[in-house]
Amino acid sequence: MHPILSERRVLFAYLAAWLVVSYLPASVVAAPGDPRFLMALAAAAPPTVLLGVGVLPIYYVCRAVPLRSSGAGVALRVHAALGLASAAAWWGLLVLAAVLVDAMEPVGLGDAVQRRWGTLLVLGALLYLGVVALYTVVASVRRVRDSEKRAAAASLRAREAQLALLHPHFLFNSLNAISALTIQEPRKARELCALLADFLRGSLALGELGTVSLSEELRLARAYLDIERVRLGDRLTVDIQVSPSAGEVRVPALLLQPLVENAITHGIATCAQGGTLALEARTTPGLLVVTVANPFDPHAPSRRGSGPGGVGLANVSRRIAACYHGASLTTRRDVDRFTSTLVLPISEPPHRGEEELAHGEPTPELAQGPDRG
Amino acid sequence: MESPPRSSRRVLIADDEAPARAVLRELIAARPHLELVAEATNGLEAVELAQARAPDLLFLDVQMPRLDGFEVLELIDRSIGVVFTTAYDQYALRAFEVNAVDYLLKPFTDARFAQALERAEQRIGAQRQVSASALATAARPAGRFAARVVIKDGARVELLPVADLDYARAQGDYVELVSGPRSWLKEQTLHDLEAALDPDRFVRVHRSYLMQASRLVRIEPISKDSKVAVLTTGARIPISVTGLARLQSWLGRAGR
Repeated sequence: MHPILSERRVLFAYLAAWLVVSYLPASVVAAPGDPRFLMALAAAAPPTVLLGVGVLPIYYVCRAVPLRSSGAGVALRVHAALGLASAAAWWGLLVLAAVLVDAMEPVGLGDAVQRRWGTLLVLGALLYLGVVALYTVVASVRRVRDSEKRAAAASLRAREAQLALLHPHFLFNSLNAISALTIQEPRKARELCALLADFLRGSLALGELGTVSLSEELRLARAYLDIERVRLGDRLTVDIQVSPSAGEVRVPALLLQPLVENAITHGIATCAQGGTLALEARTTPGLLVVTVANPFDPHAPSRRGSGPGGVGLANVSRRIAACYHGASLTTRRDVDRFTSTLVLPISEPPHRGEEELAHGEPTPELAQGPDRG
Repeated sequence: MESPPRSSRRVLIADDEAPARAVLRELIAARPHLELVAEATNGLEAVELAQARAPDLLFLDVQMPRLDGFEVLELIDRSIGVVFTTAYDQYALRAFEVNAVDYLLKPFTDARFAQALERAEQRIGAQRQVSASALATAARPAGRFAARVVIKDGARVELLPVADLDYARAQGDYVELVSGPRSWLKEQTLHDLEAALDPDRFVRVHRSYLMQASRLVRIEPISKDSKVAVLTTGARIPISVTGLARLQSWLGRAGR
């Protein structure tokens, strides 16, 4: 949104300000005490207001080529050219206006304007620079506000992701599985307790952090899948393929988990015969690509919510939108097969809003307690 | 404490998770008057085994592949005592409470199991207060409707997507469900069927008829005050005076 054009009141105030500014060129041509001053003001006002209108689009130029230490050269050259051009155009209009006034009452304004060309061109360039300064401030204030907003959104999504992991249905069924194993297979029951504790601790610990490596994120997914394997038995097989380079990429914590849970809850758990959850992570130049594929029963009862997809995936989409430019989550639904593909740019680190929380923290071990204060 | 001798009961377990079946198996084995006759690992199997093994009692998980617990309940003999089991399902729990249906929250203790068992045994053979489909409707979140109708056709279970249902006709204690050239009878009231379906799609055009409104081609007068609806399939079904008003209001909604 243009800071001046977006509101009519602001636009009027802006044009009024330019009207006041025409005092400057008028006083260059004729001193305020001079009887010709009012005529000079009348001649200077229209070209000056036109200059004000003409430099409105400069806002977009300021936004596109911001005055930063890197690439300042480009911005300076662009503004020098535009500044000179608008000063010259303004001067030309001033000459025209002065000649028109002379035609009504020959007081020699046109000559005066042409004689003071140097002062007027410098004044025009200074006015242009004033506008650039104003827009640069506005654009940078907006940029800061935007990035604060994005950071707030990113940390909110992260918190949501953490809460979303604590699916009551999963927790109570896991407790039930433990209670089932206590008599017949006490060792397995103890193992499942430890797995569940690992998973819960991992989701709490990772949730505290902004970003983690993909392999840490996958360790949590494996703990989760181990628990599901106790519940679902032979129905669940897991095939995880991660290239070494993909494992090192840092991603927002708990980003992957909803994809894995979705594949189980809306996928394999709906299939009487079960199936394979296939997770593949690889890198292409500049990108991390993670795909999760699973079978689902197209004729499954609808109690598990809206079929494949749902709240978890929507949360992932919102999080990557808050953390990255150019990341995507796409899902594909074939007859009885669901695939979700997550593509994240690698060069760009996930947004600061999430990273700040992790500042100075050592990489956490999944099994490590969240008792860091 | 010596409890009075209890008549023996045949029990069926339906749950897709092996550990959940193991808990029930163990608790059942500890009671000599209970005989575990079969275990089902999905809803379809539960319906088949309920017919083949004639259990007195069924422990029925709500979320299962193929058919969910409510759909199973619609398809099994009404004399079977049912105890629902679920880990977490807020809508189902509310429906169980309101309709005095026995249920167990997983995981459960021996004492809770004993309690649920006793109450269910008392109710074996007694008519349920609520029909299975009304219970399923009560267990759905507001604004969610059945996506399909489950029908038992002899020993076969038929799943009719609601999009394929042209109309339904009341036939005593049954409804006749019509889809193109095919039709089935299901033990259900037209009222319960209507409650399970989206009122934006299905209109009760007559005391005995419920139709998929989008199937309407035209309304034809038969005599001075009786009309019929002609459907895309060519079927003609009677419309009552209130039914006509409902159909016109459906046509009026969303500018159809």
